[in-house]
Amino acid sequence: MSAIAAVYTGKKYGARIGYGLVALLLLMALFGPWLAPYDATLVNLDERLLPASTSHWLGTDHLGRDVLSRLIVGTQLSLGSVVLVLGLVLVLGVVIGGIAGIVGGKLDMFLMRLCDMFLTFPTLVLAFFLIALLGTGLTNVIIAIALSHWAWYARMVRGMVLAQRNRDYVLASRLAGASRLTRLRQHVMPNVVGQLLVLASMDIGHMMLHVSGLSFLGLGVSPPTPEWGVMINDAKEFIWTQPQLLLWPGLMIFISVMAFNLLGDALRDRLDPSVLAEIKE
Amino acid sequence: MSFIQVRDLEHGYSAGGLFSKRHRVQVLSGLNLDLHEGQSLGLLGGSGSGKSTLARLLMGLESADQGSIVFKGQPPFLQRVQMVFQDALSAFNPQRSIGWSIAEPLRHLSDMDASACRARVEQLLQQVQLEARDIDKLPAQLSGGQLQRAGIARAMAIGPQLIILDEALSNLDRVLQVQILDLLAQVRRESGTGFLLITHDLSLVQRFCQRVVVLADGKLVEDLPVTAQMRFTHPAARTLQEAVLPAMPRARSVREPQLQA
Amino acid sequence: MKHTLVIRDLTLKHRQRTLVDRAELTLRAGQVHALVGASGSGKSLTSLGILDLLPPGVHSSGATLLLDGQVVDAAQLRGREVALVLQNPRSAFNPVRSLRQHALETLQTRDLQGAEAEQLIQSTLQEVGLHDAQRVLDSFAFQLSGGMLQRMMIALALLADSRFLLADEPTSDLDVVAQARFLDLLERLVAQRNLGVLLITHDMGVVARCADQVSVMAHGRIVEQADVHRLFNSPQSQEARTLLAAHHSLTMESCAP
Repeated sequence: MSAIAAVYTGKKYGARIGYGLVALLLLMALFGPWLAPYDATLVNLDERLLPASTSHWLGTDHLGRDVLSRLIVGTQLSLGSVVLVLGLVLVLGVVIGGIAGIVGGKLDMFLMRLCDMFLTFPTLVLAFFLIALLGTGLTNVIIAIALSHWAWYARMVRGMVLAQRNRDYVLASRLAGASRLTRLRQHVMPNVVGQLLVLASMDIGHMMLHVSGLSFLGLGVSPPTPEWGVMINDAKEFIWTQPQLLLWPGLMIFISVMAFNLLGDALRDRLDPSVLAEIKE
Repeated sequence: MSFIQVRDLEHGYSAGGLFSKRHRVQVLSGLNLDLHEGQSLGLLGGSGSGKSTLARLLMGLESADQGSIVFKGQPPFLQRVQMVFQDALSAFNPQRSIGWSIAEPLRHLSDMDASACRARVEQLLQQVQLEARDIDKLPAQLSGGQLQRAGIARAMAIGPQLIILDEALSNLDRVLQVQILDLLAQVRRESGTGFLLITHDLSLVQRFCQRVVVLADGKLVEDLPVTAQMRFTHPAARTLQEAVLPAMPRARSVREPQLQA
Repeated sequence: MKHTLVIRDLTLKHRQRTLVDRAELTLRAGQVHALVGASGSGKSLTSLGILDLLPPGVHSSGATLLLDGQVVDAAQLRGREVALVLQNPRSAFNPVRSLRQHALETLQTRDLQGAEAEQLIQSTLQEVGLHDAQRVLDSFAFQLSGGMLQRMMIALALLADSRFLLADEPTSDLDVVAQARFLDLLERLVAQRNLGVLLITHDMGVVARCADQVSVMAHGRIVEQADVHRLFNSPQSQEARTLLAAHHSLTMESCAP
């Protein structure tokens, strides 16, 4: 017991940093345009490629736009699209994986073969294929990435449901007269959802890279909309002369990925029942 | 008056698969048993004797391949028979307070409202010698012995006529075992509940039960009232009896350390 | 050959809390020394502390180990002079290695290999009552019952040619029949091989069956030490009386009320 507590308090700072960063990112996503010092799409060719200064804290890009403003406003799209992808993936995963785990039998087999099909393709290849089918644009990027990720989650959820179903306390609940649906709702799902959230938060960073990656390749948003992946794409021409233009959006992606990983760690520690008991004491 | 009658019970399962031939494992064969109201019955058997399977069949968790289990009386079955599990820690949802878990049978099998449920849980906690403030504790915050008492409280909640203890004392130390047996004896005196104690340990049966049946290789081989001088005749039962640890050290000389190589 | 193992001043702490307070024990070859106490009294930790196999967070603040009067280090004893038999035998085996591989690994520490090793393994398995030796050795831990795994643990201890055995509640997870057989085996080995055994248990029945000397532990302290007959006939400490009371209430030939 105490050993677990020792580990948990060691991670206290990680958790706080994670929460803090995520809160900051959320703030920027929601209030971006008001927080940004300049208009993120304002082109000013007289002020192109300026280094960092008091008026432009991070300098300007090749079209004279303030980099800091673009980063802040870009949070909304970069983060927002990831959240949407995650939402889609979780819904698909829970529904399909949950049904497969609970109903079992032929339906389970069919759904799992469907998953296998989707899992065979490497994520980006599948995303390319879907974009070729659906066309470019951020919406289609979101759909494409969601469709290439859901199968893994469905498998995880199914496994978790199967494991939970046979626990003694689910059995005890059955003996207490609870219906199948009630047992699912009160005993199986809470544990599944908890573990799932932990997995998802660890995976956000990964999805973020896919979204930014596709945007970097020009398949996502179109100019002049600010988005981190696009900013990296724009900056690649200037890698030898103004490398910092690549650095700033890259750093934002890095910080976001790290923030969500720390959040995931903290969530996992928090949802561990023995740690939960320690907190209550 | 027998309130559960088991007749010609047969049950088994298929084992084997990819690496061994598929074969049928017969767990219970031709079992006949009568359980009487308000009686404490000991079901004795070694590992693999089929006692846990019998418990599951009695609780209706599985349906027997052949044979019948008949209950006298009208009310639905779960209100009359409840069970306490062997491993207390895995028998409680780790994220719910034990008060919530103990009240679960009340929520589904009775029409008591929330405050009535809470009052009943407090009464049950007192009866099993736990403290009132334990009602909000999580399972991880209680010791093994305390959690098993909570398990008994949950089984008692709707006032069943029979409580099955499926090796429920096997994970506890001797001192706790005696305390819990005394508690169960008290419950039996106060509310007339019958008990089925499933175990491999004859000493527990002798302390608590009025009657004992022995299960070996899926069949009942003995059915005796528990007395001080009882002796089994069937070899499997005798093995169980002889395996019980002695009361006092044997009158052997204390071994002196041998100082040879 | 070694004859006595003395453990002195074994103190184990977790943060500021003392879990075991200056425990002192003497193990002698050919004798069974039982360490009894209720759950949580510190008995298991004591056995782990002797071999310095402490769980994270628990540290020892000094202990003296004397093997026949010579001061030794826990690391020198582990797996050689002193073997450990655990309550949950399944956890002591590597799930992806066959039992033969476990046995061979043990013999490697004695530099025994090949035909000689194979011969020794066969005879040791026979000695502990695992007669279907080939099948058992080819199996993995999950394919065998708890009782058989307990015997295999003893076999490994014998293969390591350990003089002393620390058995931590070795029968608590076994049913009565398996327990009786295991204790038979233990007694036979003590007599034939001159083993010194520290038997940790909460069950006075086990003590009555096998022990020669008894130490009673409560709240991390050893509160009584006596030979088994004196303990059962005139227990001095409160803890011993409590344990004996529970024991006798289950063994007195009495009927249910």
